[in-house]
Amino acid sequence: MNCSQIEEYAADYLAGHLEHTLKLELESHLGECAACRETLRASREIWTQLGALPQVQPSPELRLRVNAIIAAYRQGQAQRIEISSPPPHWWDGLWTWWSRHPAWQLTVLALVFAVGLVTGPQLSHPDRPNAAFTQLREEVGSLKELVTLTLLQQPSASERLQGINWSYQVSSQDEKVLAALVQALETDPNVNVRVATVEALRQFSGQSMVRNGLLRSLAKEDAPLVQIELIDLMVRLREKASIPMLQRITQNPDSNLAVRQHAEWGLQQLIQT
Amino acid sequence: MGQVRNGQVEQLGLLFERHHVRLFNFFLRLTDNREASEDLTQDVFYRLLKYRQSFAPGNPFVPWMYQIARHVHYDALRKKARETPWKDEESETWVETISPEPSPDRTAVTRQEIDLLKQALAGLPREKREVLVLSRIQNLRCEEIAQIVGCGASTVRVRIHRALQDLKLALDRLLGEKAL
Repeated sequence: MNCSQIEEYAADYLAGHLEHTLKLELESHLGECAACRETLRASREIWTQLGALPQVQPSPELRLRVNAIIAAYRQGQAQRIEISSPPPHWWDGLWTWWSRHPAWQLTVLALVFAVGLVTGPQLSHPDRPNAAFTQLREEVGSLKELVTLTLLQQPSASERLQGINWSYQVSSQDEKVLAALVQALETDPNVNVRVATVEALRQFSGQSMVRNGLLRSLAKEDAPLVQIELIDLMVRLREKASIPMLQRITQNPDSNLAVRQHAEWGLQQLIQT
Repeated sequence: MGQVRNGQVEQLGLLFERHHVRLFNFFLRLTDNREASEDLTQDVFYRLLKYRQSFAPGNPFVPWMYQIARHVHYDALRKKARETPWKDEESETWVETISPEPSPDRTAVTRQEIDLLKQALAGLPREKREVLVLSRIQNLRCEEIAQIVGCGASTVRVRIHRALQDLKLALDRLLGEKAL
C-alpha cells in the first residue's frame, strides 16, 4: 500500500470496516511512513471526538405531530375506500397499469376533453348533482378542516403557517376553522403567523365573528407589520367601527411612526367613504 | 416500508419509533437547531408517506430514508436562503446533555469541547459535513453513503478522510483562538 491509497482506506479503517488483509497492509505502511502515521493519528483523534457527541432526544411533541399526519392520512384513505365502488385489487391493477402508460393518459385525457366540449353543454343539469360526488366533496372538506386545525395547533411557527395556507381551502361556514384563525390572530406569538392570518381572514370577512376578531386585534396589536395589515384590511372592508381604534393609534406617541402615518391615511379613507 | 407502500400507513408509526431519533440527530448536526431539526424530521415522515410508491420493495430502507432526508434538508436550505438563516432569527439556546457513561469507543468530553466541535463542524462545507455525520454519527457504511449522496464509494471514502482533516484544522484553529 502507498501513501495515496491511505486516503481511500482511512475512513473504513477508522470505522473498523476494513477487511483484514487490507488492514494489515495499511498498518504495515503506517509502520514505515511517519507522514501517514501522523495524518491518521490526527484523523483518529477527531474521529473519536465526533463519536463522543451525545445523541439528543427530540421533544415528545414530534411524535404527536407525526401521529397526527398518519391519522389524517388514514382518515382520508378510509374515506376514499368507502366511496370507491370497484374492488380494491381490480382498481390497484388498473391504476398501476395506468400510471405506467403516460401515452394512454394523454390520449384518454384528450378524448375526455373533446367529448366534454361536444356533449357538456347538452348534458349539464345543475339541479341534479351527483350524490357520490357531493359526499366525496363533503368528506374531503372535513379532512381539510382536520389538517388545518391540527397544523394551527403545532408548536412550530412554520407548521402554523402551513395551517393558515390550508385554511384557504375550507368553507366559509366552517366555524371551527374561523374560530381557530381568530384565536391565532389574537394570541399567536409569531408576527409572521399573525400577518398571514390577517390575509387569510380577509376571505371570511363577511362573518361577524371574524369582523369582531379583527377589531379586537386592531385594538391590542402592537407589532407594526400586523397593525399595517389590519389597517389595510379595515380600509378595504370600509369598516367604520375601526375608526375609534385608528384615532387611538394616531394619538398615541408610542406608536410606530409608519403605523401612525398609515392609521392617519386609513382614517381619511374611512371618513371620506 | 413495504407494508406502508401497500397502504398500511399505520406501519409508519413503527418506522418512526425505529428511526426518528437518529434522523433528528442527523438534522441536528447539520443545522445545529432543535426546532428546525424537529420540523425537518416531521417532513421526512410526511414525505415517506407521500412518496411511498417510489420505494422499491426489496431495496434497503435506510439509504432511501436518508435520500429523502437530504432532499428535505436541501429544500429547507433553499427556502431559508430566500428568507432568513436559521441562526439569525430562530436559533435557540439549548444544552446538550452529556452522557455520564460514554460508550466504550467514545471518550468523555466537556461541554466546552462539544461546543467547539459543533462550531468547527458547522464551518465545514455541506458535502463534507454530511458525509461525516452519516459515517461517524449515523454509523453508515461508505457503500450506503454512496447510495444516499449519489456517488461512488471510493469518492465517499476520500471525502470522509479529507473532511476529517479539515475538521481537525478548524478545531485546532478555534482552540488556538480560545487560548489567546
